[in-house]
Amino acid sequence: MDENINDSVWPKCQDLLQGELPQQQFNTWIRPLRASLSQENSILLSAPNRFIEDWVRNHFLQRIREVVKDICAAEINIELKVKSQTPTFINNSIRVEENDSSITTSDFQLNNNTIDLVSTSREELVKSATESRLKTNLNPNFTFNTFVEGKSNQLAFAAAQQVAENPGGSYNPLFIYGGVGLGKTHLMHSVGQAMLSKNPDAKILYLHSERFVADMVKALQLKAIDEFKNFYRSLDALLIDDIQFFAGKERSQEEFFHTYNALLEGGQQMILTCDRYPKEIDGVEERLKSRFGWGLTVAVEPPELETRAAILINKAEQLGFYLSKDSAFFIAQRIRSNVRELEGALKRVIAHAQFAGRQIDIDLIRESLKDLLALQDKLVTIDNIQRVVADYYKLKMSDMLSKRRSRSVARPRQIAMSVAKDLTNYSLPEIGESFGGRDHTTVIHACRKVKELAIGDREVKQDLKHIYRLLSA
Amino acid sequence: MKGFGQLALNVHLNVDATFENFFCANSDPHKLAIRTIKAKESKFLHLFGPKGSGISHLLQAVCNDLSIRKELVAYLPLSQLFQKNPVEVFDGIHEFNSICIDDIDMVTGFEDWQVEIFNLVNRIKDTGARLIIGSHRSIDYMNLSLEDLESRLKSFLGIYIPKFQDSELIGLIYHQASIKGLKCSEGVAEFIIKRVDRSTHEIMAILRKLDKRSLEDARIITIPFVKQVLQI
Repeated sequence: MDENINDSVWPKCQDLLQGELPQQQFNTWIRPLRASLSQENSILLSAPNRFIEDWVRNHFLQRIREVVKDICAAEINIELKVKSQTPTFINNSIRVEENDSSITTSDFQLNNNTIDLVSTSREELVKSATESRLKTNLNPNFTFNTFVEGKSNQLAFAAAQQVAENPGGSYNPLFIYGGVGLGKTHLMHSVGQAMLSKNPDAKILYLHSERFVADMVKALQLKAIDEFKNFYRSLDALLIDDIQFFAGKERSQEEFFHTYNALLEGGQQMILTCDRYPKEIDGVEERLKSRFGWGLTVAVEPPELETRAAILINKAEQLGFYLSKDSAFFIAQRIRSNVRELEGALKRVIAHAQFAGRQIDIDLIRESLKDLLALQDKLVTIDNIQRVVADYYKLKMSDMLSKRRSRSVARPRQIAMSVAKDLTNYSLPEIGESFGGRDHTTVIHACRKVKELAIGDREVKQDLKHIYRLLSA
Repeated sequence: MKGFGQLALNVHLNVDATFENFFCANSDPHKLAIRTIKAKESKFLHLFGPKGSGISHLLQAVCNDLSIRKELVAYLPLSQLFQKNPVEVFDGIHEFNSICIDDIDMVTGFEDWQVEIFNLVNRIKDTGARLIIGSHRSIDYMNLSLEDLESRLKSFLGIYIPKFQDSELIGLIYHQASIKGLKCSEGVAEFIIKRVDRSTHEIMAILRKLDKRSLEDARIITIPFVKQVLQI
């Protein structure tokens, strides 16, 4: 049989099936199949997933066999399999010793484009190997230049720049933590990009923790755990995002622990991000938690108003649109939670401006974000803030307004006052009045106190985070 | 594997759902949604609105349209897939050109589904694939327990699609009737919407019924005929 199956039998078979099937069915089920020669008189069809594989097996496989038999004038065995996901470490740089078929560090790499995606054994993977460059997974748009610095992220920004200047130095690992959508991933990519621009041959890899876990599972299935180890340990910098997703995955933690130690001992840079402080990650081994803190741990806080406005102006510019300061501040005052939400709001405003053929101004923003703003207005009233805080601390609404000074009541009341000052446009006397006729100086004191606690007391910080979240959704 | 055989049987993509037979009336949100979908400028898009606003129709229209253009597309209505294992449902899906997930608000309260959609969003970021999601609630009202997913979904371009007004539903009836080649006498549409649930699903079901009976009886659609068929 003609060995070049992709140029002969399968295209002919596809042509015939296209004539027999409705276009949509052909496009959905037959077009995604990829053919390769598996053995003599045998064709291997790979489906992109189990869903398609199963459907094809049940509905079309018999017909495919008949058509192929007619084309080849011989009995051809047709196998159907799911195309296996190629792990990062195989896609990028499994290396093979010259005299040995086992995969170890040496000369050549598997190529992203030519790798046989239906292969399931190490030998098959090695056979299809050719030279290729490491795929870093770095997003070219995430650089230091496009990062908007503000009070909330200046320490993390400075640390990231230091790491980029001196990778593998004293800030190793760099552990960046903070809430969702605050720019941790952006900073991480920026370091990678900067390192790469200084040294284009540097082996830098960014990946989400889920991908690391998936790769490791695949390595175990392929009995290629040594290659997995060799690959990860050969990197100049390893950037892993959202490591809280390692929680509960003991085998992955074990492997990551050894990779982590090896990289640190070798002076290679590690950058990790997480949604919380290392010690607070649940479901992660203590030895890992303590090691996360060996280098530099920096927090990224939610951006303050000015930074949010600057982020909007910057993002609009990147998308080729002009956003005035007034417009940026209008959105930033109303959308406070994180950068991703700002991004979503800006996309809506731009889509409406394009659709209506109008300039972006406050009226257009009001129309575009009507539902979001209505929700904000509904949630962010002094009355609702008091209700949410009282519910959160399991107090009665009347406690918020009472004269009681016990700590269990006074602290939540101070928090509610501080949140009201932050989220509403009411004056200090108006806020005081709404809390049982208190003086404006009481509100000032409450705001100062809560600000201090938010820095020094982890529990209060956590409470505030939850309360802001409740008030923004 | 058995699960997937069943899964395939359960997923129903309506091949009649196209952009051409989608009724826009003079509704800007509908026109904006179609324009945005067709322009392909947004990699991540979220259409949300009440039942009967046409979101499922639009998502299926995307799939039908792209499928004709020989793209690999997946329509995943979670309301039909929810009994399945989410890991299996999303297995390999990121390699498709376009993925449309309908009824995404079903994942509220189900962290395993949320994690898989979160993983899908992350995987798609690195590919040329496009993800369009549809729901009846905005992200703010979904109460997602996985904050990482919530924030990512909030970064999507969200387009709110309101329910049709009565005048628009009347237009919808005449529009669909003309597509089906049905002859309606004056006042029929007004008569129908005053007497049935004002949802596009209900109205489309009634039109199918009227279409069938008018063919069988060789009659044009008049108010007495509608009364007879719908027994009202």
